[in-house]
Amino acid sequence: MNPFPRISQWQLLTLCFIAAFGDSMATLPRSVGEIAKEDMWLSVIFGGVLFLFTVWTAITLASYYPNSTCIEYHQILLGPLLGQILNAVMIVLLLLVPILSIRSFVVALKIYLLDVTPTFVIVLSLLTFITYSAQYGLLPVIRVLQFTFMSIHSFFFIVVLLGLFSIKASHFQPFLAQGIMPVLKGAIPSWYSYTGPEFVVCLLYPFFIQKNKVLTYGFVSVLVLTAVYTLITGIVQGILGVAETTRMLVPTIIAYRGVEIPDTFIERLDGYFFSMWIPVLMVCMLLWVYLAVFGIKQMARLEYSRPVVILVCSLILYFVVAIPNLQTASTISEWANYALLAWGMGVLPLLLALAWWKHRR
Amino acid sequence: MLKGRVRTVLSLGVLVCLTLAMTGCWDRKEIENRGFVLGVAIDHVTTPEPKGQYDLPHVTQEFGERKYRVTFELPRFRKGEEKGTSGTESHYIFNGEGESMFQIVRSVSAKTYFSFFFEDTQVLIFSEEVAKEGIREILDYFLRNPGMRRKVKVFVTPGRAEEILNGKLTVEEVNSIFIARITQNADAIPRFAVISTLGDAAEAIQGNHSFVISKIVMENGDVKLTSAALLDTQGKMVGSLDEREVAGGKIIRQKLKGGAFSIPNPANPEKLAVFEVVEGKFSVNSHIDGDRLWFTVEAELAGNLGENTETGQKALDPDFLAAVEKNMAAEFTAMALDAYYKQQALKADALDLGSLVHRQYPKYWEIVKDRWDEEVFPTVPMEVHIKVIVRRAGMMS
Repeated sequence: MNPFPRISQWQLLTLCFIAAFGDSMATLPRSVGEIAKEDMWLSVIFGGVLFLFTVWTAITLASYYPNSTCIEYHQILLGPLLGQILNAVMIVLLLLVPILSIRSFVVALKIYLLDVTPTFVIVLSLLTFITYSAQYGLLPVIRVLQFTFMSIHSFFFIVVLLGLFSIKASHFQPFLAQGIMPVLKGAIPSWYSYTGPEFVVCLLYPFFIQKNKVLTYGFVSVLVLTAVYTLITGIVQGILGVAETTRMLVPTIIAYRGVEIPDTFIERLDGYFFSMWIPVLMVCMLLWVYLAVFGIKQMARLEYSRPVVILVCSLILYFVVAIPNLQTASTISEWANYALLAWGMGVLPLLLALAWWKHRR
Repeated sequence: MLKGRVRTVLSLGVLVCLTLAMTGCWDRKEIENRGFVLGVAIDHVTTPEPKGQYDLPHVTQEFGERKYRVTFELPRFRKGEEKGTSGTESHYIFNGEGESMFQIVRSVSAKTYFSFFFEDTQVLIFSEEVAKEGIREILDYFLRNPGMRRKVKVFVTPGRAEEILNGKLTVEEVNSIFIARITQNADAIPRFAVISTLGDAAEAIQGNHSFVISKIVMENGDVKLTSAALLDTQGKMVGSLDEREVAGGKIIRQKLKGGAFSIPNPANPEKLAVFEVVEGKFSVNSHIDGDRLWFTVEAELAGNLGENTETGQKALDPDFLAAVEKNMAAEFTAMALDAYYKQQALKADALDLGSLVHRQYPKYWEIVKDRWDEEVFPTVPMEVHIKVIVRRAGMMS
């Protein structure tokens, strides 16, 4: 195990993209469509632009402490006690995302593929992979992510693009009929889909090789994410229309189940969609779990992360199974979204201002 | 050394456990036990009294009436050595009577070892009686069912819907598959409605739009898709459009992509000139001037002179072709207006004109959307301008 891993700029791009691209794309069109109606795709773009600010904040903040992780500089900025409290809050957020994402993914999986398999077994299988991959440190995680990004993600994007065959142009009109305000409000629920890169940057900044290029590649990853999310939202809107998109539990899956390319070897798209989505989510969750483990390890100043991996995965397993129903999961997701928004748009800028003020002195 | 062996044994143990977990035994279903529901037909129950000693169609429900008779068509997979059979021999039919679609489906499972599987369902057929009462509530089950696809084709039949699935076809095919395949000819035969799918119907009902569903009839072993049932915003059938009105409606909806249309031969009205549409360019717009709203339809239909029963005529004569173009344009205009007036009379806009107003004048739409079908749409005038171009006159001069 290499104690000083180095992350190249392309690996940074991969990490940032995979951290954000997991389960939320299945419900993103619904959450933005409820507010922005026909302009839902515009809300997704606006959400991406807004998220650029958070990424800029996170990178600029980290650049003040190029050899420290956020776990360390939180304590430098706020003092040991407040710093550790903030770290604990961040760890809770880092754990909340995989709990909620795995939960909603398992629900979709049970509806469409494994209706009889107990939730516990599906989650356990997923977490077995994560436990195995996360325990050996950052480099194996990055290798798994890179391999998946080059193979599975690339193929998944082709599958996503095939949805263009089924869209209706009339579903996108009228344009800006309700004005710009719903578009701006619609960006708020899209936050959950973008979150991830800011934590990657804060926790792994000391390992980046070319620190002067982190901002560029961080921005590129968010722009790529924005493009992919806009495409997915646009395709779902084009297939289902606004009314149906906002009514469906998992509109992206329902839309792709309706895509048929008859008389070709593809025929129906949903099988490909599902088989690609499973590994896409698995690696996304792997990264989140790794970040949480890494954070806890640094907080507790532990030498080895293996026991933490097992502890974290056990906690995730418990909470995923403990969530009683969809309504509870939705309510927690809504609050988690606000908490992540508050972190990205509130806590990080405050910390940046504090760091700037301290360095100015 | 010992540590190494323990590790090997543990690794093998984990591998075995993972292998077991990956077999997917929980969701295992043998294909011969799957009941591939290819078609569903929904009728009203003819006599709500018990049928036979054990009343097998009856579905026990805690609440609800014995209202619908739901028929399911499943394929009968033949063994390799069996020779081809047709009609009723190539399928299984099951039915149940009740009000809840869910309970009917589950109840029918007590009559067969198949577990009903809706992933490959092709058609959903409603009798006109059921459609007149409304299909909104019935669709709820099919839209909630995760196995059901939104591409399932929906039809209305004037008679009993179950007869469409029960009937013996002259072709060697399962009825539902045969019917679904006929729809592939929709572009060549403009006289049955644009194919409505479960997703289209759900979208229309959810968006408060009227819509049309193609009708299907069966007689002497033949089935035919013909004309259309017109359903209002509540999913209730309010009337029918004949084949001419369906074709006219397709001009307004910009969906006319092909088909053969005949007019009296300009040189000899007792003979026919038949025009084949091969390409259509459309522009449909709404206009507002003060409080006045009106629609314009402009279309350019290009095609061939497919047939001329006045055999002695020179088909390439410019005057003759100009007369064919002019008369054909007049015929298309009349067809479009007939379709429009019929839907105005029935107070059901299945021509997407409300959506057009929504797209082009969203603020005006906000004012009228709640009374569009009932009050506004029936009073809006329409101007139709159609140009016909005969590009070729076939292989003869």
